[in-house]
Amino acid sequence: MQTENNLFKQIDVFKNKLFRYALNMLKNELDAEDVIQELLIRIWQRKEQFDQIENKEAWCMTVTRNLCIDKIRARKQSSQDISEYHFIADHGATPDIVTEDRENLKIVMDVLNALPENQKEIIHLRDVEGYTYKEIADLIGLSEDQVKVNLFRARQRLKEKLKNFKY
Amino acid sequence: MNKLDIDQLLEKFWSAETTEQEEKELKAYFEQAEIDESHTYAAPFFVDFVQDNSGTEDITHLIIQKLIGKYFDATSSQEEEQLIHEYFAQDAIHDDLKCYKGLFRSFQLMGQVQFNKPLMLKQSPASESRIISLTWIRVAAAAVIFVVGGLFLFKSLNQEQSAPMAKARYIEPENPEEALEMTLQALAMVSRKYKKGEEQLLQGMKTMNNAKGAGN
Repeated sequence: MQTENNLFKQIDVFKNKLFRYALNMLKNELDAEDVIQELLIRIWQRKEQFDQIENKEAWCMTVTRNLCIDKIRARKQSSQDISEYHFIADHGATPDIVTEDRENLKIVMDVLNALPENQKEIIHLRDVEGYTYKEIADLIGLSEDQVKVNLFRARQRLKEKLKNFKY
Repeated sequence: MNKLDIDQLLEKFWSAETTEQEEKELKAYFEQAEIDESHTYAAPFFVDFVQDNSGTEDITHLIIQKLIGKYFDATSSQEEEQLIHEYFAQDAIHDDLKCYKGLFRSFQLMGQVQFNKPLMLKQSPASESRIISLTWIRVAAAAVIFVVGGLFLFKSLNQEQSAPMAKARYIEPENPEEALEMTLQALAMVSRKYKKGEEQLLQGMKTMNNAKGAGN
């Protein structure tokens, strides 16, 4: 019989991606943790079927996305701020770099938060997680061409907004 | 070309709608000395790095400039984007590219977020199975109540039917003579019942024979 530890060990390798994805969508660390917990429950309830799933990462990303959408529908959306990135101070950089990182992140995050939700999601999946166009298309239910068009628009918007900032 | 013309051409260029001729015009504009200050940000996209031979570092930065052009047009491959990310992850960034450092550095930081909590159910599977067990216990309890209740009801009805017998059990003979008397009475009662039953049986047979005779 499958134990809890053995079962969840299978998602250990991509758990950070799942969490970042939920955080990007929900803009709140506690909500993102709730979603991961919900995901674990779903996996546990379907433990026999889960073993048969070939691409567990894709399955988990899809379930995470659906859970996030449910949560977003259940509450009023808020903007993500850099308070969720408290780890910046812990990576051993000098105080100057930490300050610079915080400022950069604040600027980029403000621009990202101003993007339409699907563009922001695509930017995250491509530029933070490095997914292919096909993987993104499969996950969010768009064609590859639609993904490319949205990515183009999002990056153009980023360039337009960021050109006014002096780093 | 005036500033407005360049603005319009750049707008078309960012939307990937420029013709080859228009891109040549933009290139010519950025290769001459008098560039409007508001356009300098776009200069790296029109520099022909092939003509540059001032050293490996410059070539690297010009390659990255080209790749960034493709990046913003969303035409870059995963490998090319990986090169851009790697370039901005190191410290030696060319002045022309520093304006993009914040963006790629931020993506890098976002990618460092980790989920450090243990992967376990808050409500453990053990307690889940306890819940299932409790459900079965409830079902079992209901079944037991039903069976016991049924037996009780059955017994009660049985007791009502056999009440005279139950009462009789309380009349205990006080001596052997009384016991004999009671036994004889009981046997006489059985005999009477038997005799009555026999008479009824004979009566029944007689009726049947009469009916048989009438039928013939």
